[in-house]
Amino acid sequence: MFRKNGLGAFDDLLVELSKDPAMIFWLDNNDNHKGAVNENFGRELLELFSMGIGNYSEDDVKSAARAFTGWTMGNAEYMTMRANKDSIWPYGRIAWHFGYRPEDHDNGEKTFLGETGNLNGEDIVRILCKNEATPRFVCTRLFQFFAADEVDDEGSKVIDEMTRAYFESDYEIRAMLRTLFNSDYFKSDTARFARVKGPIELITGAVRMAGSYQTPNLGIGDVVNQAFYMGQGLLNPPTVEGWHEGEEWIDSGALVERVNFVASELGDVDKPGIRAIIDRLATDLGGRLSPSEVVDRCLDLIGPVVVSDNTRSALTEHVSKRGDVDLTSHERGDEPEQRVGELLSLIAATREFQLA
Amino acid sequence: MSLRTATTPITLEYIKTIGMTNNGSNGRGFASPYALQVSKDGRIFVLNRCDHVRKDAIRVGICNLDEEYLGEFGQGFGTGDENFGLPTDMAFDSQDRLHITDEHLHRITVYDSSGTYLHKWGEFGSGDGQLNGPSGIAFDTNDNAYIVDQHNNRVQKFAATGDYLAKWGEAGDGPGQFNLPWGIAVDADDNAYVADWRNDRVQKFSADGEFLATFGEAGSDDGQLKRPSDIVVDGEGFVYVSDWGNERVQIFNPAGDFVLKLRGQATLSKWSKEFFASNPDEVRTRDLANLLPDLPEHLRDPQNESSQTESYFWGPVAVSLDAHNRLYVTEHNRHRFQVYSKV
Repeated sequence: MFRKNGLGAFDDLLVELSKDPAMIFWLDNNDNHKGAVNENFGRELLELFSMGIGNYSEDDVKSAARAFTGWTMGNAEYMTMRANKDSIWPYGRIAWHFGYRPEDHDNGEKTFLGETGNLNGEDIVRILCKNEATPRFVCTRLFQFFAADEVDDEGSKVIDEMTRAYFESDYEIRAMLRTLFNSDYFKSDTARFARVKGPIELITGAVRMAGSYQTPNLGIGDVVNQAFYMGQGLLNPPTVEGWHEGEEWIDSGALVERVNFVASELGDVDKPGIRAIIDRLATDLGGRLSPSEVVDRCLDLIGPVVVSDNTRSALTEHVSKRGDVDLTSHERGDEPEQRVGELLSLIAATREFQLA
Repeated sequence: MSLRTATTPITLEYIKTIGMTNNGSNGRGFASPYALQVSKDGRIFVLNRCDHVRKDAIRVGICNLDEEYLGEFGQGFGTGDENFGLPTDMAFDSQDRLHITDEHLHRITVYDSSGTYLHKWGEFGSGDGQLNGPSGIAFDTNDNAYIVDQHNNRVQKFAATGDYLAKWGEAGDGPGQFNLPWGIAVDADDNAYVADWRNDRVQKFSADGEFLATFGEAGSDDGQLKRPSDIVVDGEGFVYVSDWGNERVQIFNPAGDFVLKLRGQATLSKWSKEFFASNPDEVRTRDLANLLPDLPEHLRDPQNESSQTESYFWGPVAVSLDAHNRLYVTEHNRHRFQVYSKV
């Protein structure tokens, strides 16, 4: 659903999100009935998925919930029974799908954000999408995901531009992102290292760099577990709101997990991506590199990662303890190669590598 | 029900569905079956790939067309002689010995048709005779084995003695090149057909590995393929392809022209009927359920349709033929196989 609608119109995305069985089940809309409203989905639609808290009233929440009555799952009774019994499902699972039950929909008059009528779910989405609070909220989240964890004055101006693009394009997410990525802010030093990499982002970058999982294999499950240890269990966020991002990704336990995992990936000289780095180094400068040269080239090849002078000095000092790195006649796993792996592991432990 | 198109000289009649889920360590039922072969005496051998979490369910189950469960062999996940890692395909040789490929352990394990372990062979690597993720396997009329060496993007040919004979293929998308090839079949003239999985096509080679033809292209229209996983050729040269990514089976004539497609029409197997007989509450609710739903537009793609329509193929990973021209379509997501007969 997100792959199909993720760059399209935001109102389309919200309608499909509202019909998605995972969402219906997660936020109890299958228990939202005419005359027995469950406002869970209606509230979170406004608070978390569109406008943000402070831009609507409790009456708006109730109206939204009433408008989404009847939005449930097809075959709900059969599927619920099978799920409750943990049946062996003779032919495997039947995926849930959306079903609309008109007899369970509240056709009464509702008022939502100042509009009154026999509103249905699509009407709620239509009304909230034309309210400026919605693009402001969504653009801020996009900005924080891609550009910087904190929004400063210059960042606010980018969000203004993104909001303008939202309306000019009839709510296109692609237009908002294009505005963000083409902004001077996004390409400036201000946005460099302004975000903490999320666990999945960190892990994916490391395993792609190391070339560890070029084809599916049994070890891939362990990678998913690593994300869980770092605080981002896939499909298992701590609350409806999702994960708390930014600096909250970092605590003493998670930081150790982050550094250990990435260091072990980048420090393994048998991995194809690391071998490629070593081969590149071996052809550079005749294969014999001074400590500062090998530090600079490694920073370049795994990023480029731009580090502070202090970080670079510390890395160079470490390599200097054993002199130049001589890869002129290197063999798999020999001492010069291990030194490169060690350096890459140290880079993985730097503050700069943990940021984006 | 018979399936026939106006231009096709082939007719397939649906016979029955066999199987049901079984995640246990023994007993009838299948767990993510990946391959099926029929022995000379008509017994049906089903390779349960399952997963390493439910390690005991990784085994070969045996049944017959009358849906009698006859037993199983293999000792689950592991590295011992009779263990499996990710078993992928299997084939009988002329002596009815069953050869099973394992893409995780990079080896071939051989059993006799009573399920007695005989031996294993295979070594990881990319040199001649070495394997990296062996998947499809088939035998020619001289008992030479053709093995798809998946991650080396090639086919290797071995004599009945196990001696390495030849190889062909390399990574790429040109003629004779492969991108993660999977299944393989050999026709009556010893031509080899390879399901070139990531290139969305089938390639045909001579017994010496000479490229002869290709058919199929990426897409979902008739004659187009999406991640084909397996292939089998009948005595008349018709080519049956498990068009895995499109959740269907397609049949091509000997010239490589599309002639027919199957989407699946499963009915309840004998074992499933027995399950429902002892779980009447499920039957009552099932009768109210719509297992052939009219899905909304945004869900109308093969994967969504198959995951929500119980009679359709879902994960049709393998196609097999028996001596009577019956077609067996193995579905790893439905833990069953559907049987068709060529009329």
